[in-house]
Amino acid sequence: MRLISGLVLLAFCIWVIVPVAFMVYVSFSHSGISTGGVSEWSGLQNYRSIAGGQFFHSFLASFKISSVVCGVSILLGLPAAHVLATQKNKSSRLVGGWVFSTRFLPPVVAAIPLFIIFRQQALLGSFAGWVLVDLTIGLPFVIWLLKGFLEEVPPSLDHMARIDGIEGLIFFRHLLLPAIAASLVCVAALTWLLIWNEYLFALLFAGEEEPLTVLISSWRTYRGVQWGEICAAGVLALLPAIIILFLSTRLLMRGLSFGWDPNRG
Amino acid sequence: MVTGIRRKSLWALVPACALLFMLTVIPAVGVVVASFFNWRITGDITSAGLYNFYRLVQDPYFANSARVTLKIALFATAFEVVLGLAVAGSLEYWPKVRNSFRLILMLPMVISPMLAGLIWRLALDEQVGMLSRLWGSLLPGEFYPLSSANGAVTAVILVDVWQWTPFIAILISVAWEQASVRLLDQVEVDGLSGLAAFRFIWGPVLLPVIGVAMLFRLIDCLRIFDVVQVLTAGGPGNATETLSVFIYKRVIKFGDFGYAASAAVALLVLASIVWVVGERMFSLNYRGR
Repeated sequence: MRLISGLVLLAFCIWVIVPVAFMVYVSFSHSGISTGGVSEWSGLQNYRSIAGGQFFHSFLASFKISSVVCGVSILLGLPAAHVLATQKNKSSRLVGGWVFSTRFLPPVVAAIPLFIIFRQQALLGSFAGWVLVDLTIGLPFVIWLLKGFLEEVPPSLDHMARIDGIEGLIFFRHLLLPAIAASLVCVAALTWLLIWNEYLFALLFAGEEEPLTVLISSWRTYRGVQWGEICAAGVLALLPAIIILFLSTRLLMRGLSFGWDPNRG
Repeated sequence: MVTGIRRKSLWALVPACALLFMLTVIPAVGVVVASFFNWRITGDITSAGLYNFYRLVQDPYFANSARVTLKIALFATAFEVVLGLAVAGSLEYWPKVRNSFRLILMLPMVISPMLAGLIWRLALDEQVGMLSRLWGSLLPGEFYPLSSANGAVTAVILVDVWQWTPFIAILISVAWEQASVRLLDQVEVDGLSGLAAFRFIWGPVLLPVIGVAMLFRLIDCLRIFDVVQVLTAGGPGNATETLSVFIYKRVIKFGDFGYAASAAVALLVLASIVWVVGERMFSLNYRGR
């Protein structure tokens, strides 16, 4: 049984890794219709050829939108999450449930009216409009996850602060923040990654400021298939995700499952 | 006692929730309202009553897209649960590599769905792709998976299974690990075995996890867009035109906002049904204490 299960795991491991590894391999090769498939090693040539053009611009655009949406989501979401985590009454539960349910709203449903309104208000293609729309992803994510993490902060911290008369920003800065630092970093990183990976809203609302996902997917449509360059761009777009993978596995898992933690069951 | 901190902090809910309300509830209501109008990109808006929904019911493209979406959602979720269970179960025999294996499993999940679609488009590419060359060297016949309707639908399911089986596997594996620590003794003490052990011990632990994971996957599959757009762009023909792609095309290509809105209402209703049923069944307010 141990042998069979080992084989299952090995096969699954290969199945997960090989497609990604193949992309990395193609990014270092000459490829194209003329050569009839992937041919010899080309070193960094693909990377060099994308470095000059639109790619760098898009990389910055993606970086900018991810950072801004992540920042705004945390700024607005952390206080809200704190309320939901500390005040346990009917209305706060109701609001919590509603925030949770927005995670399941199909993005295309929210996108249509916003698209129509933004088009009329000339917000389409503006950075502010794009940030607003991306907040529909960022905010529920941050609020719900931080709520879960904040619920794990022992209530004695709150009692202690109240006895000592510590409140407001000082309470936050010196007591709460150290207590949730690790989870906050993890939530921020995942929010950032969600927006970095986002595609539909970027396609509709980013306008000329093409982020990476839009740029890379457009290469295959308009410029013919240039797999070498596409893969090089894909590998670079993947780097932040790989870095984030090496944060805490447990916290990441909770983030990726939108707060579900079987340990608490 | 209500202290200063508490009273003030109620206001902290307002900015975030007001914004979220503006960005989710109002659009959702807006979609419903817009679906009752004949609203085109040219600007003329006329009341249409139920005409958009009448068109929707008559439209073979919509029927096709609803069918394709359901097919993808059901097959992908089913495969993911079965495979996820197999992987999580196998992992129980190898406790020492459990954590590093979970790390590897997370790789597909952190990749952008757009990029996942592209990675598989590359793998399936008839000239460059590894799968077509593997096929060519082992089996007779041509291998053009993306140019046949069935092949394209299978490819979309395949990508979703590739990306999200690890999600289910890790959830189950974590629950399993926890349960085995707590419950193994109990099984021995009570002298339960086989089916009884599953019925009383493993079932109650694993079924809720599987339920929650299935709910996530079902709803995410119903709205699948990124992978399809990059892998097949809804083609060949409209073989993989899922509901999201259908709506997107009606907005971007045809500027037929009212009609797109009515299709979006259908998607919203479908997702809501799954959500409500799922929430009831698995008491999803799992952290709402």
